[in-house]
Amino acid sequence: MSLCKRNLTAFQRRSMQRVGGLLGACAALSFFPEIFQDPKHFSPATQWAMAILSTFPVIATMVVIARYLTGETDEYLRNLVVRSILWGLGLVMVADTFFGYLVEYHPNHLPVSVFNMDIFVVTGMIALRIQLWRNQ
Amino acid sequence: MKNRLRVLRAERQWSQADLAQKLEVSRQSVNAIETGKFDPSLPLAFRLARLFETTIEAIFLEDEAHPSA
Repeated sequence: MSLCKRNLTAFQRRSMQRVGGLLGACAALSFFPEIFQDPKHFSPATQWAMAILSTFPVIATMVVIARYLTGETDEYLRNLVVRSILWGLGLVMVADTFFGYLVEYHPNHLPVSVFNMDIFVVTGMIALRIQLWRNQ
Repeated sequence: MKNRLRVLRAERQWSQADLAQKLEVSRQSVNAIETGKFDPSLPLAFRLARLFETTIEAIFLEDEAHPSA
């Protein structure tokens, strides 16, 4: 039962795979409108549908993480995951604030909020790795 | 919070991995508790006490710098 030696329990592996899959889905949905056509040419209904659809992986990720935290029997790992989540959320807020100001001056700048989920998961994973490495 | 976990474990010649397996937690958890980086919950403290056939107070020592009120 060790996250740093790839000796994961089935529950831990399943949770990580689900988060990874949802991260992929989120990334795909982020670029979906760009691939097909200029999103401005979508009808308002389609734009709303796309916006709602893009929230599904985020909601699903929160559900997977919540279920993981509920089901994880190792309280120390649970503690580390909660800290990692805070790191992820913190960096998302920092990035959003920083690029939020940039968007004011550069309206054509890529909307970073689209990548909130990616930043959150990647930062959380890195934070978890670092914490586990520090407590070898 | 200080503890005597490392001593108790050494007396029984158990590795951190052995203790982790008996407690059904990760080896990192045992290491974090031993080094005082993480204070276990009451259920885990009771499991430790049962495993070492002693009391919680005999394992965990109150930090003199921060005694409870």
